[in-house]
Amino acid sequence: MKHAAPDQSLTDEVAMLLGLCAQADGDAFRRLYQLQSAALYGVALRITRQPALAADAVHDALLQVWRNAAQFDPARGNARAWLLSLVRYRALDAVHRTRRETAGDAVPELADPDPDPLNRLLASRDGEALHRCLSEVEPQRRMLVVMAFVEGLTHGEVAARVGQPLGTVKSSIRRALLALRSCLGGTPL
Amino acid sequence: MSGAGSDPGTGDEGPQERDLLAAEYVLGLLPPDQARALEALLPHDPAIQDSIDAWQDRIAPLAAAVPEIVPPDVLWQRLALATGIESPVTGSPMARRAPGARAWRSRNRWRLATLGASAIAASLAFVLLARPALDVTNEPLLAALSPSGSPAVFLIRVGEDGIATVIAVGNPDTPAGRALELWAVNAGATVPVSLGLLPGSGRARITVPPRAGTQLLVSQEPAGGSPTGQPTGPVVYAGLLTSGG
Repeated sequence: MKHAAPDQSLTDEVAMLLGLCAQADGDAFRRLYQLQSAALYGVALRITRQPALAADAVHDALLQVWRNAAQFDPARGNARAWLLSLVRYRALDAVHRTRRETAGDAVPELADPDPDPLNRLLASRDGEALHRCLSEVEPQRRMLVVMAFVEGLTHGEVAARVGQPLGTVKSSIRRALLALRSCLGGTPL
Repeated sequence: MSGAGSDPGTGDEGPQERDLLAAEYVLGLLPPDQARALEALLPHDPAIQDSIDAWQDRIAPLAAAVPEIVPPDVLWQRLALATGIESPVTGSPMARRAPGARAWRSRNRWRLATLGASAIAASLAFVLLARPALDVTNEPLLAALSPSGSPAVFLIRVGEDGIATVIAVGNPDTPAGRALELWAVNAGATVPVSLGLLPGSGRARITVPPRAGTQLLVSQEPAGGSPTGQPTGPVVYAGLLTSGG
């Protein structure tokens, strides 16, 4: 086995801070913000492409964390993944409310299956595993999954972006997801 | 279960189909109506919730592919106010400081923190309970007490319920055998009125007049407080009580 990555100690710290937030520890909340806000805001901004919406997504998610930190159950999952998901769902909601009205607008840079951003996954042990499993996925399918996650796109939006039929995009992504699940492991179905 | 309408399709399909649906939900691929329909099922379908949790963990490392961007400081100020853990004060250097700028004593502090949050809170913050005296507004009144031109050392928040909270956000400079005494100078007044001693830790009861525009001063005094009823030692921190709205 590999030695514990620094990433793991960060995850552990975030989990502990969530426990302290559940006890209304303001300093723990401040520390949590210090550790995670840049990552969360970066993700939210990439999805919403509007600073105000991104800030609202992070604000609302972290306020929920403060009020309901006890909802986080370390036995159920990774603390940083939980935080990230809270922010992503809010960012997705925000774009579903607003972006749809401006559908057809050119969106700046596309998610490129450029190896550089994915190489950033190698900094963490979990990321390393995901990177390895993604690299085994057929490149076109991998690009669709990464694009959907990073940009926060629905099936229909991905299809429009790549100019493929909706059904083709759905099944390509599903194949990629099945391959990922098989590679990453988890509860057998 | 009925599979009619905008049901995302969790009725008849096998576990694999449901797990893939969970994955699509986590990625954000589902159109909003389907995502809402799936969410409505979650309380009744722990298996899908488990699938979602598992997919969140699997896919989260992909966030590393997105560059981190430090959010504007105002985001922290909004959160600090919404949570009530700190008072952003307009015009104070503190108001523009994101928590990243704060000097944390040690990461190890947090390793020890499992012993209990209350002990940490007690060491960093103390609560002053104040009785509302006059014209309480609906907005909290805020003050940052700082040395001249320096970051705040104490933050004071007087809530509409009349409870004032004082948070030590820096290290109060109190020489041995001396005490810090809090004073108010009402707008238009020239003579400070003692509000009591600021304890280094623990709780104290004090009356802070909830009036915007009140100047707050902290002076170093002999242990037990000023013997004269007026500041006798140097004024080390000062700030203005302003409406936090």
